[in-house]
Amino acid sequence: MTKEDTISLCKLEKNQLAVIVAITAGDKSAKRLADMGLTPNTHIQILRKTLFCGPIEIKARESNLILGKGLAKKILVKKL
Amino acid sequence: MTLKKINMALAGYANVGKSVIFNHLTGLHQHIGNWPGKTIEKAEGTLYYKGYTIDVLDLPGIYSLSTHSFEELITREYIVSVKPDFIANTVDATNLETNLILTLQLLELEKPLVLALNMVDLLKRKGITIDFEKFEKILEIPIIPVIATQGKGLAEIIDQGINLTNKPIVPKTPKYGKEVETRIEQLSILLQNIELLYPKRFTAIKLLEKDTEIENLIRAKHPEILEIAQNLSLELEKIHGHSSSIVIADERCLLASHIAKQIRTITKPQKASAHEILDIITGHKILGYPVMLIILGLMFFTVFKGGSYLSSFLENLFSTLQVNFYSTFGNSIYAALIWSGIASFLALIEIALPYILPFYFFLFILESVGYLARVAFLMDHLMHKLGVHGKACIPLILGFGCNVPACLSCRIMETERERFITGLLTVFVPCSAVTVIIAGLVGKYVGVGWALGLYLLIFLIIFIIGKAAAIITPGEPTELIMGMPSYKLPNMKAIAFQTWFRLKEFIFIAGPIVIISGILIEGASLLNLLAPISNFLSPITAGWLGLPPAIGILLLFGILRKELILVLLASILGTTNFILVLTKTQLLILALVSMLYIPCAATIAALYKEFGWKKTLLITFLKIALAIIVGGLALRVLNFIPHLY
Repeated sequence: MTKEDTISLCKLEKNQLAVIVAITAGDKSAKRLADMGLTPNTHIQILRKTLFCGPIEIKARESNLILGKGLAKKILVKKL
Repeated sequence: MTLKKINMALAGYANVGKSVIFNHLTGLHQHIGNWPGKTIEKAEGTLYYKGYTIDVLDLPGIYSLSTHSFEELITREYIVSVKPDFIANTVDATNLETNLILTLQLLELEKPLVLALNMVDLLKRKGITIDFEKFEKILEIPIIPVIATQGKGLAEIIDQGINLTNKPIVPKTPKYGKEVETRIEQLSILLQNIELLYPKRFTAIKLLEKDTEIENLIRAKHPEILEIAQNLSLELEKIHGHSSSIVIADERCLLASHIAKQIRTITKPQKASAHEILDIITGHKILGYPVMLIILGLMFFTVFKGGSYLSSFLENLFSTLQVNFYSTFGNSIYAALIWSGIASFLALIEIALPYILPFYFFLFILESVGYLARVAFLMDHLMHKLGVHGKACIPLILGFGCNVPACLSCRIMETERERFITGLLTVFVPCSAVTVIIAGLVGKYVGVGWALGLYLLIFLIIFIIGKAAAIITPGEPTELIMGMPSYKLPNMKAIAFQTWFRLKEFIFIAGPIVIISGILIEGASLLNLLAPISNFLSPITAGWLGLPPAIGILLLFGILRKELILVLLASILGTTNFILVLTKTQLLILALVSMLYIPCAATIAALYKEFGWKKTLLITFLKIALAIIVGGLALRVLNFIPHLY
């Protein structure tokens, strides 16, 4: 895996499948994400985006989650 | 021996139907209050079943047993200190894997647990089948398929709970990977002879997760154990390359995923149902906005148009009451005082029945069908500019109608910080009474452009306060992270109960506050204190704000109801043609000050209910100070520019 493959979750298009590589948020936010099932190696799919790069809706572990832009930015993923 | 009194707690994610189950079980026997010292709602109720008296507590909706929020802390502290006889963990069957992450943590609290697998009726639509027997074998706790909205499976929850109460079984705690497991065991042995609030294993795991609350508990008595725990966490971090708290959360995710895979098969979902089409439209990145405007607009106009009709009907009804009151009790001072107390309470009813009741009703419907989550999703970006996240737009929109239900709706925000900032912004939104004042003073005599200008000014002020509050208020800003619930039909019975008990609670809290403020102002008037008070205020009202001194009296009555400012202005000035007595500048300043200064008594009561005294006083003083500062500055700016109008 090269560095170039790794992009922010924000950059993905609708319906794209990806896998979480790393979470660069602070300890607290990273823990919150992990508690909701978003940990490295988790497979996700982009379900919906909003205008102006607002929040993103994703599917992870069979459930739909809404992530604010600030958090989504800090989730690094690799396209599948 | 069988116990006749049982304590039961409902725990689980938000939006999994906990409150529907709660309302089904307890019906009219419920009480809504706050957790001591917190402004988080506490719903308790009683169920009489097969000779048992079962006290049911609906714990707040949470996503984990960490300490990200007070809700999570309350839940775990309640479970270990009050020790309910059994916990019913409500789980969304269609989101099994993520819900299981919380279930695994509840198992770690080592209290009798029943798993209520809700929304099993939606499984077929989503192409999911679950092997319930296998599920029970793996977790070794009773698993009950439930359709909460139809009341199905609820009796079994209670039956299983009664069994567990009479023959308590401590559930098997989940086991993790070897690296983590050996370290948990090592710590559990060290904790063996120590008196702890939480189970040993739970404490050990939380120490490895670097949970600050548990760390503090251990630090106080056994700093040496904390040191060992920190070293073990470091070891885990070295192996995995990230924080030990993530390592353990990841273990839980893996386990949940492993369990889910064993018991669940997913086939192709049925073709797009009406729910999904609805979901596509209402959450669409462009279409979603007009749809939202229509839905919220409809709610707004139904509540406030219908409300004003009912409100004036009640007002007429109550004014005949007033005539009857005075004809029965005469015109004594005591009669006047008593009537002012009654009148204030009736005024509260005039807000509660026509506005708060339908508003709560609509809010609970939007919440239970799952639409609020879509609003949060669509509005998040815009609301971030005000320092809060997407859900805050609901209270802010409602504020244009009436600040009282708007403040009460701040409970939809997740953290105390978000709730407070939203409440603070909400009370600055000009409510319908303020709109009447602006229209009657500025729109009519100074010009519509100036009236709109006032609105722009208040939006600017709200924006600045939002920015400032986001910086000043302690705590981290919460980024939006929440489950997106699928659309479902609301359960009207549960919604009716939710509406009624919250309305009742509000009247109980607000009643004394409005009655006392009504009697105080009437008392001051009867003792001829109003003139001295407005003289006392005149350096501000006349000197600084350039208004006639008599306006001070108006502002006092405005505390009871803002519209009184306009009504009484006519009687004080002796004319309804205000422009004959007041200059355009004075009309503008009076409207501006009325818009900004102190929230009305009912709003103060709502603030008190949602935020407690300290924050209510803070918000009230902030508003008064801003009214004085902005009003005075505006006067000077207006005076500085000649030939303005």
